Amino acid sequence: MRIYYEQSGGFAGIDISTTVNTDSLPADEVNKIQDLVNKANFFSLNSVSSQPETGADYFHYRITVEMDDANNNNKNGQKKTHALEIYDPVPAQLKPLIKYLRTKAME
Amino acid sequence: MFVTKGPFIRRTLNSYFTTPNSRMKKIMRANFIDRNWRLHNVQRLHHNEAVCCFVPDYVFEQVIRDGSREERDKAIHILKLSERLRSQRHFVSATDPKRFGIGGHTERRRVVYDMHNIGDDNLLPGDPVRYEDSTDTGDSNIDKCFNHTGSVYDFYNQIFSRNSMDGEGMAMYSSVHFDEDLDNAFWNGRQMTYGNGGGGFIKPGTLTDLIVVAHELTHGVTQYESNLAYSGQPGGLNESMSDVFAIMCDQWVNKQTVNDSHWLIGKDIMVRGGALRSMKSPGGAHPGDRQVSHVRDYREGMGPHQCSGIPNKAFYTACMKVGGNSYETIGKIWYIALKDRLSRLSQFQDAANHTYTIAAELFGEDSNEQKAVASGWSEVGVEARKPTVEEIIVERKKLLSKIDSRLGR
Repeated sequence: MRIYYEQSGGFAGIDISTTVNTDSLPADEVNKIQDLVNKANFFSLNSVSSQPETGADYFHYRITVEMDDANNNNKNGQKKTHALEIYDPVPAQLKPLIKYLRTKAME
Repeated sequence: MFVTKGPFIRRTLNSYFTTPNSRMKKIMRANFIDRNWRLHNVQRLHHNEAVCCFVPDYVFEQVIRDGSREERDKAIHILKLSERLRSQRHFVSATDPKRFGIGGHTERRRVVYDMHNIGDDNLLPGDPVRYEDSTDTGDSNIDKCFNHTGSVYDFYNQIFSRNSMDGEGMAMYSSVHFDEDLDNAFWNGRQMTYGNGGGGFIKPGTLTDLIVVAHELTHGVTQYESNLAYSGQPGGLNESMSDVFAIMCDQWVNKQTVNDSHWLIGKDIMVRGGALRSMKSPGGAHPGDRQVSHVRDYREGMGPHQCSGIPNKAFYTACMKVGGNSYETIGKIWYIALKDRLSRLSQFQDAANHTYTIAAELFGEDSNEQKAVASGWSEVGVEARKPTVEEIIVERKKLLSKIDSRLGR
């Protein structure tokens, strides 16, 4: 599985990004990430959420998750992927995944 | 306490069964106050609201009196548009989130809430911990936030005769300790919210510094006045207004002239050193700073914090040309632009034209101040001039169509 994470905006207005590739990670880390993606119900979240009508200095995220388990491939044999473009405040279920990715991006 | 309905009570009941009692009590106390704001505001909706307009009618009345036949027709047309706009704005204001803030105070009214490191937007504002008549809590974040909110209120009140964010004495609500180590502070449309920092980028406890508080509170002022959109050039202007008024507040509190000021936003708050933004040299505040400082570098899709460098530098340059205290000269011009002239979709050119016009109104045609405004904008590639009647019509039509589309017409 590969996760592409981009975060921009916020009071600081600083862009950060990271790519997480589970191929190169130990099994317990992979399980943890898998769990975060599952709990976020990532593949059923809307691809694009509009910017809130009011408010300022919110974070803006672009997150893509690409599964490479062959069981998850679609009819044409393409990998199952889902991309999100989303602004704060994000759904509560997505927060732990974002927190994990943000920490990775800061490393 | 249980008279509220819908998701609100479901949330309350859910929390009742899933949270420990002490935390529950705190949340309930906060919700109780929250409910009272709502009740209060339902009452406020029935009162007549003053409606603002961004180009004073006397300008057009003068054209009708002194202009040529063609100019007169155009001015009459604009005045008619204005009337339509007023009635629609009035309607929009009834559903506007700005109505959801308790108001009408004649003196400053602050409340600081503690979110106890919970990062749930649905639980804002949290547990009320500091009021006007209470003493210091000993929590430096809470006390700093409270005191700085007071300084920002005083700055707006004493320099611009402004009573709070909505100009009508609304209470200023701030929540601190939002989430565990969030490197962010934001305005959510109704209140200020501050993270703890310590997420790797921002030093812990620095997000309640004066300049951050002034920046966030100004987002509130902008929402209640020009209500600049938060993307494209209006987004850059919105962000810039927050930096402009934050640096002026910093200079006012520290008794600094334009020459004494560092013109930095977020000085000493980054773990890696440097500042977040420099108004003097946008793009040069820290090694990863991507702010631009000239319109030739502006691109569609650029974030508000990236292109805000353009109007920031225009303001800085104008202030340096005039000297003295920013908030007594160029700051006054910017305030009137924010309050009375700019609108939801204003562009950099509109901001330049409006500030140039206001400079003449306040300080005289060809005054040092007006020349300074022109050279400030010129420095960033925008040539300020008086807007033509056609441009004002276009600007008003844009605003009208935006309102029409929101109302589903």
